[in-house]
Amino acid sequence: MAIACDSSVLRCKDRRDEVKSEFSAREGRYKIASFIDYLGKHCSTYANSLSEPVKITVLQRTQQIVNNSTSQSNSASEASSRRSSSIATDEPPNCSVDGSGDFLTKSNSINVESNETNSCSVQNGSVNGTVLLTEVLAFNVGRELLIYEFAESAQPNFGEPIDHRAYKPGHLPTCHDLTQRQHTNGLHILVGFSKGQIQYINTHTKDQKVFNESSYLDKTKVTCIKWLPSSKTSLFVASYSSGYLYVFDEQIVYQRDNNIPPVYSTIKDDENNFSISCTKSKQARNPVSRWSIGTGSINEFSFSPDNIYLAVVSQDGFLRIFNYEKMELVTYMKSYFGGLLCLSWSPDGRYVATGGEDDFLTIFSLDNDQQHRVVCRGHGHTSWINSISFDPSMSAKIYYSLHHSSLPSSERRANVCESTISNSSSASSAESHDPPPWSSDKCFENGMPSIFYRVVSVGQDNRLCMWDITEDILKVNNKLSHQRQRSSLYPPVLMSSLSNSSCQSTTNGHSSQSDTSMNPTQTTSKTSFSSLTNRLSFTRNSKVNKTETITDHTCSNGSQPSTTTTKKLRKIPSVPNNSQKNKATAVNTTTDGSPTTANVNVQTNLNNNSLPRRTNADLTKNTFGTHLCPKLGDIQLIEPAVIESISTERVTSIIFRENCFITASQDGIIAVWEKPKATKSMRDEKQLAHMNGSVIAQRL
Amino acid sequence: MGHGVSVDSGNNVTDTTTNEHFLGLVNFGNTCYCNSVLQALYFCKPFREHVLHYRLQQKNKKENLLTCLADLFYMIVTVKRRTGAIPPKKFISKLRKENSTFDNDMQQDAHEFLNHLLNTCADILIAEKKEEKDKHDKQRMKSNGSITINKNNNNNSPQCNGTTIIGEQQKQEQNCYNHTNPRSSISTSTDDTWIHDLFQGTLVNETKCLNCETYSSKDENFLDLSIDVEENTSITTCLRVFSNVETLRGESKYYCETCSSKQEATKRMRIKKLPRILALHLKRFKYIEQCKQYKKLSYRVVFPFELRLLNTSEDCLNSDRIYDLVSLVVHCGIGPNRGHYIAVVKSQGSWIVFDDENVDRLDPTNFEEFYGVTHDLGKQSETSYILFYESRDPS
Repeated sequence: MAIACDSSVLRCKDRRDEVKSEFSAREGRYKIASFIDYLGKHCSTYANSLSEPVKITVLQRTQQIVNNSTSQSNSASEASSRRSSSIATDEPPNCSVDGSGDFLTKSNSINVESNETNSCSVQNGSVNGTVLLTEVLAFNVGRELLIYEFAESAQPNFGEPIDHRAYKPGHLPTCHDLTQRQHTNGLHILVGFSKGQIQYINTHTKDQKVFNESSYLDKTKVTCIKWLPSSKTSLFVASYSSGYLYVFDEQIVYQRDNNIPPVYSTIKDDENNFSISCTKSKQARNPVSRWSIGTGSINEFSFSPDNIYLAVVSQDGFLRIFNYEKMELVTYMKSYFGGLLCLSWSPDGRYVATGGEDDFLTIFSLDNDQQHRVVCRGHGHTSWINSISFDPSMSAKIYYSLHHSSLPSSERRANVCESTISNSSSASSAESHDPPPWSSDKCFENGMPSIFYRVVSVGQDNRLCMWDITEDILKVNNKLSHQRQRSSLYPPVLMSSLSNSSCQSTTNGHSSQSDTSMNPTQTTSKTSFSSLTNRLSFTRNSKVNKTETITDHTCSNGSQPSTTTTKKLRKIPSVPNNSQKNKATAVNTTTDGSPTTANVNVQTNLNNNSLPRRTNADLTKNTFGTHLCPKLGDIQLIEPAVIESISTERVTSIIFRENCFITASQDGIIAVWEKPKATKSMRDEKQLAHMNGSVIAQRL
Repeated sequence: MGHGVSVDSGNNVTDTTTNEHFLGLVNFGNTCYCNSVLQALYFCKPFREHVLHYRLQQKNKKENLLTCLADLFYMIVTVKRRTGAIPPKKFISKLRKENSTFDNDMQQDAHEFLNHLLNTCADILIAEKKEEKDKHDKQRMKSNGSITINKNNNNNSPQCNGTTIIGEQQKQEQNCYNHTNPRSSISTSTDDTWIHDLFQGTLVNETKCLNCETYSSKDENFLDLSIDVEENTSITTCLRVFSNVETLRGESKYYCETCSSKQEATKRMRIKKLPRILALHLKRFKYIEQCKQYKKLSYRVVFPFELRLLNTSEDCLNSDRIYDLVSLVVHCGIGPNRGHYIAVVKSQGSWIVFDDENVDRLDPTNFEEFYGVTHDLGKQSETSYILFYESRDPS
């Protein structure tokens, strides 16, 4: 029997685990256009001893180049400096890590000429010079960091890296970010390390700095690092496996007491397991602020497309979404179990996709029309999901216009075979570039669905999965969830968003009931919880205090229960552009209409006044079975449209560019996957129409 | 021994030991298989509490494996120093005396030992319970002790998939729906010892004859689950595969009662009742026919600190259980009879490695090593072998 089982598994493996360099999706064939096999080229003994995941960062670089031997213009000096060596640091960098050794730069080189020949330079009218667009790709392998610059995805090879650094053993680069500030050609590079240091490199001025040099702030691994999205600021954010997230200012130079840990004063403390502190110091010093989020490592974070929200995934299995400026927790969600390892925002900022140790893809909705909730889970990976990304250029229009036959969407999803490429010109000419491709203009050709998202995930099973999130997944499920709502327990965070949605046609009819139905649910849930508490307190004396907080599942904040509830509710309105008024009234009715809830709050808070904020186990418990962590049967479980094994090692990173996506695997192979021609040509036309006389060139 | 009460008093025992003791165990010649399992079990708090409680309750008892275990645990709890190593001498000698398999200096399989230990302890408890009951019955009046114990000599049937099905020496629980189950036996509630309370779960084995379409299901109890491992997967996937529908054909055809003949059938094993402590044994030692020997599969199998099971049956009442990883036994080396076992346990939020006498803290980021390797190069590998997950809700 065991044998029968084994062989069936093996057969399945044969089919799937053959490593692919190209595969078919509905919209056509994806294939590896080029790749960097760094380890294969340089050192084969490395392979299994690499401990840190290989991560990639890509930046589109804009460079202004003045024609040779012209008179002095504004950008002349920059251009000339770029020509000599715009990114490579010729002199050995002198920054040290851990006070004991130097970062060692092994080699660096630049190939200016090839860049220029490969890239299409277009004369730009507005700026007196030429603008050169290139892609800069950075990745870490073992103790090395490599930066490549290239113009075309189809470029057969990348040439030599423009920068290459090898660091001291034991100080492995773990993450990085690139940015470019206005009016400069130089790159600003951030590198996080396994022992907590952060290196800053300015390729223009050749400045180098190290933050947290002797690990005095935090000695754990830097798990994710990002420049604040606004290009003007010198602020950046770094998350650590200690569970802290620090905001640094690159320009604060604080030499004195560099190794003395700062004194923090808490400026915000939320019972949902996060707090924010600032450093107490007369002089400005780093870190600017410190966020303590959840328990256990922060694994990744990402700013929303509008740069307002900060989404953080942690080892405790929670996705938490903050309003960054207001420093408020907007909403959260919990994995089915285990840590969340990665996340991605949908291009319109309405959804967040996460992946993690439950092997599930989870789509979380922040849509204003709906309450914050888990929309669906996806099962296709046979191990943990390492990295996930929405395809920013795959829209409903592109997706559906590629297939004229109107199959039911379930069939469509199942249909992963090569699709016939239909004439796409009509679709592309219809839409200008300005409204983003995901915009939902309903009057779209012959009643095709207007909403479609493509999510791609890669994982420790060496596989890539493509997920088609169609309108019916998002919508049908919505109705289901509203039916269930009344019977299931959920934190009041949801109530407000529910009230918010009362203006929506989909939720109409339910909105009138929402206030009345709320209270019974509240009270019944309360009693069921307290009976549970009783049982728990019998069996585990030591845990009584903790379990008691379970009764307080109304997210109140200790001393001022009713006001905090209101405050809490007010934060909820998340994604902008809905009428504030509507929210405010909704909030009022909720609080006014439910005096019993408030009373319950007061009581429980009296009990819990002296208690610390709730533990993660409590949060997990409260969340389970709600829309923030539905039970398995309560939401849709989708299957991937494409499952392909794409590596012999675990795939650690995926990033989308316009005409390609880039994957990295633990064996140090960076692969650039060319998108099907059908999707490309449509955009090219669009792009051409858009570019018309303005900026330029060849993009990825 | 009513377990409902014993938990509370067990708590009292450990209340005195909030300062946890981390004591290594001396190796008496390849006894790391035993040391690692003992440490892993010691840090399964409910197990430890019950063992210590047993010691309190059972005074002037004649020595058995469980009393030796209780004495050892008591020694760890009460010893003055909080670190160092102690020799589990009495336990080892009792183990060797009572079971010939372990009566040598050879390396043994840690899972076999775990199996033996749990079953022996359960047997001891059942025997004691029965003794007590007999005494009680005699005192009251001679009642009809019509409990028949079906000693069953059937070894694990091929369907068992390697899982430890208890019931060879003990009786099975009564809720066997399928009366055709050859191993089913009449039993009483006296069978429920705290060992069962902690470790016993129930699998439901659903079979459908492909000839007459008759569906039958039978329950099987387990103290731990042995699951096949596959390359580059997660424990969740391995458990899924464990519960995949398989077709019984050829040699392993199924005897259908309705058809009165051997027929092709589909079979699926899912979990109907989740145990409080879930012990997962990864079948990393595979017999290779060609080599006529066991080979170690060092496949990378990732396991989370927090786990829910997906392979439960529809009528599973506690399918929502959430588990926390509390300890694991790690095998280091190339083969089953070579190499070394260590235990990795969680205590007060941090992870600790017990390598015989040596005790060390472990950064949780180093768990990467215990998952296994991506490419089986026959190299030295430190791989998880037995995982102990404890349910967050004790009820």
